Amino acid sequence: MTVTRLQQVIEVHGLKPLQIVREAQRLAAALERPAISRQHFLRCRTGRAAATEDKIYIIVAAMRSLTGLLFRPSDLFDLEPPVGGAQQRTEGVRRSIVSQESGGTDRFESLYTEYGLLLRTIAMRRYHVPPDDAEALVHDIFAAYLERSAYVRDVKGWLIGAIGNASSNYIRKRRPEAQLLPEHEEAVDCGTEERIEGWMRHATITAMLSRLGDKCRETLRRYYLREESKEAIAEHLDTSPAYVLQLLVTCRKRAQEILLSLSRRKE
Amino acid sequence: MKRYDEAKFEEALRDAKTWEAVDALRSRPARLQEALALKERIDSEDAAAARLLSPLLRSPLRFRNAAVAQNPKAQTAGVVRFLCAAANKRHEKRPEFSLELTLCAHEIAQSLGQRFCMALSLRERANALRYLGRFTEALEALDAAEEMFDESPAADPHDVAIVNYIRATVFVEIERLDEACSLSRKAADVFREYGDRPRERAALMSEATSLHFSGRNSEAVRVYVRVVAQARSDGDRMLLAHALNNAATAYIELQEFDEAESSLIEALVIFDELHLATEKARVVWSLALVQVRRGDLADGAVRLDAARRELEGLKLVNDHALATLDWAFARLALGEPAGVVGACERIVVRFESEGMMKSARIALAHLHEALATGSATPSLVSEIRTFLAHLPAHPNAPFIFSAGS
Repeated sequence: MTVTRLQQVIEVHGLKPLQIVREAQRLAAALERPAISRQHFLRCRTGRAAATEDKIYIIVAAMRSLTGLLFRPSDLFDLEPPVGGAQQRTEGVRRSIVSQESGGTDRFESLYTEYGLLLRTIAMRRYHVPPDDAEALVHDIFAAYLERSAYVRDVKGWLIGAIGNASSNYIRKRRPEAQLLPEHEEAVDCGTEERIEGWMRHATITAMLSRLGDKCRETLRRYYLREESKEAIAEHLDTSPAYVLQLLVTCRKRAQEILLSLSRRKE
Repeated sequence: MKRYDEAKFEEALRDAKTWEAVDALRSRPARLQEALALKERIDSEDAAAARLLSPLLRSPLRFRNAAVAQNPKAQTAGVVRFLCAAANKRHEKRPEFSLELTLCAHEIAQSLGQRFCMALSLRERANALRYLGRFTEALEALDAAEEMFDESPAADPHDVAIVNYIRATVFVEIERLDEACSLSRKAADVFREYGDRPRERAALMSEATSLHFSGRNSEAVRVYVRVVAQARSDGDRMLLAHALNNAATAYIELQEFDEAESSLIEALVIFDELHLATEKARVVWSLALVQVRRGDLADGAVRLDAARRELEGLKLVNDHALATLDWAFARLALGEPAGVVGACERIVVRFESEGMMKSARIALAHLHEALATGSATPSLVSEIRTFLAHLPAHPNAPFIFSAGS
């Protein structure tokens, strides 16, 4: 009788199959994913049934949870079968696991880049904090946020409140002789709100442009910033001026779509 | 669908600063790499904590037997954060267990020597103690927590505001109402500064409650109205209904019965939509009381009779007792005492301490005796009702009959 890879790992770690099934069922309930029955697990363990993508996912999760070891699906299952098809299944599992692990990081990176710019702008323009120090303050705020993310309910509001307090504290420490201006002390006033909205818009447009494809971004840069003619851009791209016009329309449309999605996320 | 203003969009595209910022963003600065590394470390700590602790949280016994604080693998900030979050979820239903979790978190935080972790665990411990009614210890824990939130000028004000909010709710419980009011207000201001609307509303509710309990009903109404407006605009239906209900109680004391009635009717509709039968029954009871306070005793008595039966059906024994006394008051005031003796004989109250039960029994015995001898008056019933209603807040108060004296 062939001993499956899953069975080998279970034996090496001295685990009980029932323990794994129970943990898998608990995780499945928590993650709202399909669970696995005791019988089905037995069949997978003994090689009498091939595990589906969902079953592999939940068994790997249960094994990670019970042992604290970061098992990969390929540590427990043969994921390179001779025929095609199953390869896609393996990829599906990998993608699913990778996307869960990296999703939070991606979101945090966007948060850092998009709001980081806004927070630096607030520190520099409203509180006159020098650029390097503003960047350090913003970094400290994100570090503080990471420790508190479980109970911060409105990220945007929290970050803006945090930069206000961090900047005021900076001014007090660096220039004890200088008094805070009324605009620093007032948490919310219409003028400040408007200014922050303006900076927010600027940060959103910047984030949008950084996400736009290279071709679109460079075409927009040439056309709007460098004020190159459509003929000059066409020559650079080795295409016709009519195509450049078409490209500009498409890129602006795409830009608007990204702006909308960014604004929705920030609201 | 919202579109960006074309003119502003083009203006930004023509601005060199926009493009400088774009290039800076695309270069992934070193600080971003540092932040991502920190995030990765925190995520991995949190994941390890979840793996270690999730199976242990299924029962207090299992958790206790695991001696988590002594486990070398548990000596991480992630474990402290996880335990505090787990405690926070359990305060309402299992405060004893949540206290145990926070004690373990604090022990680990102390051995790590991290002030933020210590502060976090002390704050959560205070929360657990508050739910357990151990108010002096809760205040001590809050004082210690506040001192330790001193490492991040950016985040400390928000962290301390949460401490102040918890402290204010403790002060309401122990009737240090002026302090509760000013602390709630202070906390609400900070929450507003940090865009934390749910906590701001909670702090406003605490401020309104402390004003209300101090008898400053006009001021209480003003704050409740602010909470109502915020809850309405944020779509927080549960809080909206509670704020309307509380505002109605303050309106009743101000004898503004039309306002009270309209607030109660709106609260009733929302509680009905939310399928909160007990809250709905209490609002029906309040509407009947408005009727009585308006002087419409006959109609009020009919409504109170229906309300008290509904409360009895829902097994809300103390509410049923108070509603029955309200009904008895109306019947005696109408000069129609039929049925009052029987209804009052069926009154049952339930309090946690034996001392409170004893006081309640003495008060009720006084009522039964007066009803049996035909000497019961509406003012006696009203006095006993007030005594029973205030007993949880004044557990050591003896019943002293003063009506007619």
